[in-house]
Amino acid sequence: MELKVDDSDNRNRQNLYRGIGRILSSPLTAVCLMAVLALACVVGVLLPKELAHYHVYGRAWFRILLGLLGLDIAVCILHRLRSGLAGAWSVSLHGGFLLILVGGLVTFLTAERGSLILREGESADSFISSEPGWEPVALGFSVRLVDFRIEYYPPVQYVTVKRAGTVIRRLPLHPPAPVTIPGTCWTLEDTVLTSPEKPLLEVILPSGMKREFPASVGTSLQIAPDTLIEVLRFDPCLKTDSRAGEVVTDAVHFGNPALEVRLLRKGEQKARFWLFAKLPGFFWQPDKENEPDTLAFELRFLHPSVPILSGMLRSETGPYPVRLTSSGFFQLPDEADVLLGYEREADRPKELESAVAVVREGEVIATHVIRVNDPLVYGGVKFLQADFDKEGRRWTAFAVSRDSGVYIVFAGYAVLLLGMMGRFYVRPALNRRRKEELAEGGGDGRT
Amino acid sequence: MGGLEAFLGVSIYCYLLATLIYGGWFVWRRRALWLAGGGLLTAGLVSQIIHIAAGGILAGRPPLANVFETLVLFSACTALGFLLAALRFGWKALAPPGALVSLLLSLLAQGLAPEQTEPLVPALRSSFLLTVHVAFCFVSYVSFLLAYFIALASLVRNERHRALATLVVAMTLSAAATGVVLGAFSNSPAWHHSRLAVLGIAAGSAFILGVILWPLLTWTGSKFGLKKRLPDRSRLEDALYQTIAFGFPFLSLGIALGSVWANQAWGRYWGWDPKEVAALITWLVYAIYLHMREDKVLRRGWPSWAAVIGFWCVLFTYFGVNYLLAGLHSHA
Repeated sequence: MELKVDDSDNRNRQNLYRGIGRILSSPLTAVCLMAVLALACVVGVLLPKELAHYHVYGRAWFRILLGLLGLDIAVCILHRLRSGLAGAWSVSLHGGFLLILVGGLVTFLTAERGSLILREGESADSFISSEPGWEPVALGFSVRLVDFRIEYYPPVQYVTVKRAGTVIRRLPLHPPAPVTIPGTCWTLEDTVLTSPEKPLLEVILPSGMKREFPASVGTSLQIAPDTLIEVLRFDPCLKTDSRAGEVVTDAVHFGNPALEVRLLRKGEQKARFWLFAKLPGFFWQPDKENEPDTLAFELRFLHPSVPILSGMLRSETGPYPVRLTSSGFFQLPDEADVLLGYEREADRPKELESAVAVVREGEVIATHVIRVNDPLVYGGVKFLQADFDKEGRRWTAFAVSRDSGVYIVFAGYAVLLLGMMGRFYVRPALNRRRKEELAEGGGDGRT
Repeated sequence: MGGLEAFLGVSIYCYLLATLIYGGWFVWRRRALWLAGGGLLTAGLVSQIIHIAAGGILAGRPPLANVFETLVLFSACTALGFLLAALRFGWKALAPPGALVSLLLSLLAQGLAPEQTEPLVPALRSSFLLTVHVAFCFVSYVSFLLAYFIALASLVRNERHRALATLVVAMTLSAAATGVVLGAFSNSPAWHHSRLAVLGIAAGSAFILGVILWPLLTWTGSKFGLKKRLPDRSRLEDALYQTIAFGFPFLSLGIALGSVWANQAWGRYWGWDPKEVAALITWLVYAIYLHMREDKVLRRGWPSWAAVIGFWCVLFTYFGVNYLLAGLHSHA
């Protein structure tokens, strides 16, 4: 009796696998998957970054899509491997892309990112994770900030032109060279940049005469027989909390130098107000119980940290003197919606350098100067120059990352690019040469 | 800076004259006209190369850091790329669109020129990787621009796709003209106040102009037998493939180098930044083109549309991200 083995289940299974393999390795499937991925990315790119991550890139369906693409590529590679050497470039090209996807997966699963802030002389053996919770993550070694240095570009100056409330031009300023105001008949000439060596109070009388006094707290200035100005207070960076009606101060740097003065007439206080170095001609009375006083003269507070641009606006209608600081604007005569301002860009960082030492068990193992584009890499951890204390220059901040996926991704780039060079440059060149040789040989392959 | 601007001005005049002379060549088909156009195109290119080189020496860095500088580079690469393609494929008709595009890009650059060379933020300084990344991307952009023209020619040659392709040609011409006008008004208060509204009006105007141009182009094409003057479809599709096959590795290299640089500068090789994603979309579209050619059904006419869409993605990556979206890349 013959024993018959029913092989139909195996054959059906094999046919199914072959069918799936054919579908997955077909160009049509690749086109569909890439098209869906591209469309998802279009949605992502049009959304604000946080929403894009939440609704698109961070979603499970997006990751499944990438996974399907990876599977498609893997099957395609297996298919190409059967073609032998002829498919080598294609295998390299697709293999490289698959490596990139794998590296991305490793990054997603294992990478740690965060930040580290250090003052000079300080050490840290952990960084703060950027994941919700901001937990400290141990480094396995210590990093000490030895020195922090900032190199700045030389300051540059501009005359800013505002039209309809918007800055439309920033004209480079090189005193005393004239500056033509575009779209108007005005030219700013005889420009001079001044800033006093010490704080001054400038009084401009109705006659046009100017007098300058040292703006020291406690001094009194007799500007008329019955009029006295008393300097009460100085603030290097006055801010106002309009809700609480309070004056607040940032005493660290000269962000908004302000002087509180009071006006006395015949010994009686008439007004008490603040003058601002950055806003010549403007005064602020926080205490509304005082009588508002229209001053018969102009008071200006001049401070060494606030340069003033003086000049003469000239056109056919006549010259006008101009004084500009970084906060005030000057309305052009005969041009209702054109305002001139002055901008000085100092403190523009050219290079940030953090000299750090890596310390393990009390011994300095390595030193490095971390700059932007020149991170420290030690123990699989990368420290990048990210930020610094812009106001007090007291601390520097590093972005920290530990990511083993990056090496896989970079290997993927290399393999992908090798495959591309071969597929798009080398193979066509070899084919062309072969055709030429065949043609020379009479077209039948004989030489 | 004044002397430097003169070189850009000279190149603009050369491109303008080249465009006009090539226009004459289209009508009279005299070899001398084509050679004269080529000579002027080359002169404009040389002048622009001098402008780029001198700008870099004055600034103390490669002049690739902002839209103005990259537009000038794009213009020069376009002139060079189209001239070389005309010689490579033996199609003289490729040079005139190169002159026209170089002219438009140079005019746009002039409209967006900054008052003076701005110093770079630390992240953009002293980076060889960044310079090569930008350069490679622009080589690919020029290839894809050339592919765009060849793809449209191939679609015009195809009876089934001709009407839609002619519409796209009309829209391209009107969008180019609108873009140059927009660039000239980039310093107006309206642009600063409400960029999206201005862009919306510009897009609407370009669309209306394109719709008006469309029947005109269709009539011109049939009246002067322009279809017959184009090479046959198989040659066009081969040239299209060769052009994209040349540019695609450069785009891939550019993206890879950008990723490596980002890892050095920002500590991550991919952050789903709008510029990065836009570049990825562009890459995917051209990958789709290459795969479509492998499929028996999809390869009939449809790959050319992928090449057309791909160049729109290039424009979005280059301009759209900078002017419509914010991100880490918004400084270049």
